[in-house]
Amino acid sequence: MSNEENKSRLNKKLNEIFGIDLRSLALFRIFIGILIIADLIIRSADIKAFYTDEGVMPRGLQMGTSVKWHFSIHLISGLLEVQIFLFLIAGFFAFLLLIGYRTRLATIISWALIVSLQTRNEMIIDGGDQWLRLILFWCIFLPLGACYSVDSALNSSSEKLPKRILSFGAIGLFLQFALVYWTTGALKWHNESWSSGNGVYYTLYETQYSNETGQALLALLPLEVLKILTFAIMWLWTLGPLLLVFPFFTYPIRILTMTFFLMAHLGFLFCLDIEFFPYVSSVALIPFLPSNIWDKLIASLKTPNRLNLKIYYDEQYDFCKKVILIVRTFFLIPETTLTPAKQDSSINEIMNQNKTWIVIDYKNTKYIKLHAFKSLCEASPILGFFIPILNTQAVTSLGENIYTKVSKNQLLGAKTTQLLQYRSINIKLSMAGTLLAAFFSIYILLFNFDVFYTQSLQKTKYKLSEEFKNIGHILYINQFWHMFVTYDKKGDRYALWNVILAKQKNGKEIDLFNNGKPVSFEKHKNLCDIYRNRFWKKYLLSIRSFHNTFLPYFTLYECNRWNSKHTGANKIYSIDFYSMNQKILPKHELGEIEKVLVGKYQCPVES
Amino acid sequence: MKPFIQKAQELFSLDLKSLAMMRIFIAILIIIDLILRIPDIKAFYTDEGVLPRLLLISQSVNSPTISLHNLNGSYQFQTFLFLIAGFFAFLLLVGYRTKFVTFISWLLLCSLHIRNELVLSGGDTVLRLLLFWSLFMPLGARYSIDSILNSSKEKLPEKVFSMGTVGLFAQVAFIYWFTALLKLKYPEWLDGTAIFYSLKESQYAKPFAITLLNYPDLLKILTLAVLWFEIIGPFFLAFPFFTIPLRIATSLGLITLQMSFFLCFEVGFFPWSCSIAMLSFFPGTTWEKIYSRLNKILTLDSFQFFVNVIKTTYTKVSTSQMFKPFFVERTVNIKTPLILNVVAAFFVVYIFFWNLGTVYPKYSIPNKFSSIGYALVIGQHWFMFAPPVKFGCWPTFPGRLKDETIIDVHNSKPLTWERPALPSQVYKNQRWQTYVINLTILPNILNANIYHYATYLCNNWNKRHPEDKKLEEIEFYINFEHNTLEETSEPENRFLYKHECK
Repeated sequence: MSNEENKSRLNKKLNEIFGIDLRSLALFRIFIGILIIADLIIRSADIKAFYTDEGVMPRGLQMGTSVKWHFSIHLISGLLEVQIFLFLIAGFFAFLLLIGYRTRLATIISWALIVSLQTRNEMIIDGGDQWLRLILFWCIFLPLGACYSVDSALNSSSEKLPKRILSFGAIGLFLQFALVYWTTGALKWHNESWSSGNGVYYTLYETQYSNETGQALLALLPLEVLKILTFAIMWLWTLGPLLLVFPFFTYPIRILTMTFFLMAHLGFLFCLDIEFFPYVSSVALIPFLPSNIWDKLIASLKTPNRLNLKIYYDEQYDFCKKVILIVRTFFLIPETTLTPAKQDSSINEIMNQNKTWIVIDYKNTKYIKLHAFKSLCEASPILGFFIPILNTQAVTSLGENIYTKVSKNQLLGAKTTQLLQYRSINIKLSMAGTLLAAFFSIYILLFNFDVFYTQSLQKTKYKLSEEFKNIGHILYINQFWHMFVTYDKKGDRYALWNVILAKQKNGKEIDLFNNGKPVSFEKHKNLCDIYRNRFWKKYLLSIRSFHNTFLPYFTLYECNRWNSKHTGANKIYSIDFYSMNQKILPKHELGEIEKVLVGKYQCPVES
Repeated sequence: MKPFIQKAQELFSLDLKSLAMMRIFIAILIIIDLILRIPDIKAFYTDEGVLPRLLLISQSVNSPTISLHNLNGSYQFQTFLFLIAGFFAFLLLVGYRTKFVTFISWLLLCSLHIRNELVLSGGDTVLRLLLFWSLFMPLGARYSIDSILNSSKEKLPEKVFSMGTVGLFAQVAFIYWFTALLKLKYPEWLDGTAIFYSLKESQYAKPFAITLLNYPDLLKILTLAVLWFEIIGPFFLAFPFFTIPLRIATSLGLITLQMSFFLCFEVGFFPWSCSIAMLSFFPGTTWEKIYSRLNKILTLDSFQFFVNVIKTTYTKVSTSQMFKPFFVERTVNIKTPLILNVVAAFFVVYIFFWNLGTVYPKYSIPNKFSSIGYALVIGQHWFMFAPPVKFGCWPTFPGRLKDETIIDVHNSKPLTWERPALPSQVYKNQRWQTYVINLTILPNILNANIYHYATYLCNNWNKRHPEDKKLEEIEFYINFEHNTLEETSEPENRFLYKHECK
C-alpha cells in the first residue's frame, strides 16, 4: 500500500471519529439558539436584582471583586433600562444564530454577550452557564451555518459541501466535552466520599441539591444500588468520552454511549435541583450524532410528493427568489425546483393576473397566493401541524392581508433584499483559526489539569503561570467542573442553607426567603425549595465564603425590596443573616445542625 | 410662505466641501487629542490612577451615562480603546463609510470623556458637540473615499440643508449668545474691566496676557467689543442680505477672537475646536482657491510629490488583493432621513432650553428630561470667563521623604514657597492643569477625589525611587493671590489635606 493511500485512509478514519456532520452542527446551532433565548427569558425576571446598581451586585462591587482580566459590556451602565436593552440585543443575536443568518458573526457576538453577561455577576454562574459559554466559544471555530440556515439557503457558491467537517474546531469541541467529564471524574476518583461509593448518597440525602423525587428515590433504593450507581457514573465520566470516539464499530458504540449520557442527565433532571445543566449537557451531545442516522432520515423524507414540487416565481424581484430559497430550506423540501415564471407562458399569465407565486404539486395541481404556502406546509415534513391553524378563518384572512401588503409594496422587498445577500459558504477553517483552535485545545487541557493538580492534589511544582491563566480570563475560557465533589480528599459533606431573619417594626421576626412567614431554624424538608429560583440559590451558596463582602449589598437590596412593598409597622428595620449547616453521615444519619450568625445588618433609615 | 421657507433653507445650508473640511479637521483634532492623552492613560483612565472605576461609579450612581471605558480597568485595555478610537478617527479623516465612522467616533469620544470628566475643558465639549451634530449631516460627500467610491452618476449639489446644519448654526450661535447673556449679569463686563481680571488669572495666563495688561484702556474697549461681538456676530452667520460676505467676515472675526484666546490663555483646545466649527461656514470655493494658491506658492515639487504619494498609496491599497473587498462602491446619499431630521430638530430646541437654564435657572429643563442630555453627553455651560474671577492660584504639595528631605511632589523639585514666574506653566500638561485646578479650588471635588490623587502620587513616586527616598507624607496647599484693579495681593497659602503614604 502506498503512502498516499495510507494517508487518505487515516484521514477518512479520523474524519469518521472526530469529524462532525454538518447537519448535526445545524441542529446543534438551533438548540444553542433556543437555550440562549430560554436562558435570557428566565433570567430576565431578576435583571434588577443581579445586573443593576440597585441590586445585590452593583457595578462597584463587581469591579472590586472580579478578576482583573475579565471584561463585561454590561458594566457600561448600572441602569435597568440599559441592561434590558442588552438582554434584547443578546436575544436578537441568539435568534440570528438560531436561523443561521450570517452565522459566524452571530456566533461571535452571542459568545461575547454571554461572556459579558456572566462576568457581570459571577456569583450566579453554575455549571450549565459555564458549559453553554464554552460551547459557544468553540462554535466560533465551526461552520454552524452550513445547513438548514439562511446562509445555506442563500449560498452563492455552486460547490457541493462535504457532509462532514474535520478541523481543530471539531477536535476542540470534543476535547471540551471530554474535559468536563474527565475533570469531574478525576476529582471524584480522588475524593473519598465518591471513591468509597457513597457519592450518589451524599448528593441526594437531604442536601440542597436533591429535590423531592431525589429524596424519594433515595429512600426507596438500598445503599448497595446507590453504590452501583455511583461507580456507574464515575466510569461513564471517565470512559464515556473515549467510547464516543472509539475507532472500531464507531457509530454503534457511540449511539450506545450517547444513550447512557442522556439517561444520566435525565436522571439529574428529575432527581436533582440543577435546572440548566442537564439541558446544556444534553445539547452538547448533538454534534456526535452520526452521519448514517441523518442519511437514513433524509432518505425517508424523499417521498414523491416532496420530490416533484415546483415553484414559479417572479424573477423581476430578487426578493421573491430569496424568500422562496429560504422557505425551501426551512420547510425541508430541498428537492423542490424553482423556475422563473417567464419560462412558461401559461404560468406567466396566471402570475400576471393574480400577482402571485405559483406552486405545482406532484399531482400537477396549481396553487396560488396563500394556498401555495399551504401546499408547501403540507409537503413539509415538519410543518404539518401548521395546516389546521392556517385553515382557521382568522389566520387565513390575516395571511391574505399580509400577502397583498407585501406583494403590493415592493419597497419592503427592496429594503429586505439589502439585508439578504448571496454569500458563499466556506466551511474550511482558516489557517489562523486552525492555529487558534489548536492552541486553545491545548490550553483547556492544561487548564483543567492544573485545576486537578493544584486544587485536588495540592501540589505546586508544575502549576501554570498567572500570565498564562490570564489568557483564559480574557476569553473567559477558564473552567471548573467540580460537580457535587469537593477539592479536598476527605471532603466531609454538608447540607447547607441560610436563614434570613428580618425584624419588623411591630416586633415580629420573619423569614424573608419564605414570603415573610415566621422564622424557623428547623431544616426544611426540601432544601432546594427555600429559594426564589436557581439564581438566588446559586448566589446565596456562592457568597458563603465571602459573606462580609457581599452581605451588606444583599441585605440593603432585601430591605428596600421588602419595604417598598410594605407599609407602616410591617416595614423591617434590620436583617440577621444565619448560615446553617449539617454534616451528612453515612447510612442515613445526620449530624447536629450548626447555626452561625454571620452578621446583623440595619436597614437604611427612610426619610 | 414658500419663498420664505426657501430663503430660510438657503440661509441655513452649508457647502458640502466645507463640511468635508470640518470633518478632516475634527478628525485631526481627535487624533492629536488622543496622542496628547497617551502619557497619562494610566493616571486618568485605569484602576491604578487618580480615578479608579469604583470611585467613578460611586460618584455617578443612577447616572444615565454610558462608557465603554468602564468595561475593564487595566492599562492594556484602555490603550486598546485609544487605538480603536485613533483608527476610527483616521477613517473619519479619509472619509471612509463616514456616517457609520462618525457615529463610532462620537460614541468613543463620549466614552472617553465620561470615564474622567475631571480632566475635561470647554474644548472637549465643543468637539463632542461637533461630532454630535455631524451625525445629522453628510460630512463624507466630498474630499473622501466615500466620494471616490460613489456609484451614483448623479451630480451632487454644492450645498446641503438639513436639521443637522440648522443644529450646527444654532450650536455655534448658542456658544456665544449664552456666554454673552451670562456676562451681562456681571458689572465688570459692562464697565469694561472684565478682561483685565481674566488676564490676571495667573493659573491660565500666558506671557502675551501679561503683556496686554500694560494697556488698560485697550482692554476696556476690547471688553465691550468682545461682549457685543458675541451678541451680534452670530446673527450675521445667516443674515438675509449680503449673506455670504457677512458670513465670511463673521467667521473670520470669530476665528480671530478664538485665536486671541489661544494667545492669552492656557485653556486646552477650546479655541481650536471653536475655529474648526467655523470652517463649515465658508463657501466651497474657498478651499479650491487655497489649493490653487498653495499650488502656486509651493511650485516646488515637494507639494506635488506629497499629493502624488497619497494618490499612489490609495491606488495601491484599494487594488491590493487583501484590501480590495473593503473598497466596494456605494451610493453617496446626502439626504438626511426624515427621522434623523426630526431628532435633530428636537435637539435644537432641547439645547436651546438647556442653555437657557444655565443662564436663567427658572427656565431649565425639568429633571425628567435632563437625563436625555446627560445620556447623550450634550449638556453644555458656556461660562468662558463670564463670572470674573479675581484671584490667581498655584499648587504646592510639600512631601516628606524617608530621609526627612522635603520636596514639592507636584513638580518633583525642592520645595519653595515662592511665586512661580508663570503659574500657568507649572503643570505637566493641560489635562493635569485642569485636574489640579478643579481639585484644589472646588471643595466638593477635593473631598471626593483627594484621597485617590494622593495615593496615586505616593505610588507613582515610590515606584521610581530607592528605599531611603520613599515618600512618607504629602501635604496639599493651594496659593492664592487676590487681584484688584490697583494691585495684586501677596500670596497666601491655604492648607487642603494631609496624606500618609502606605
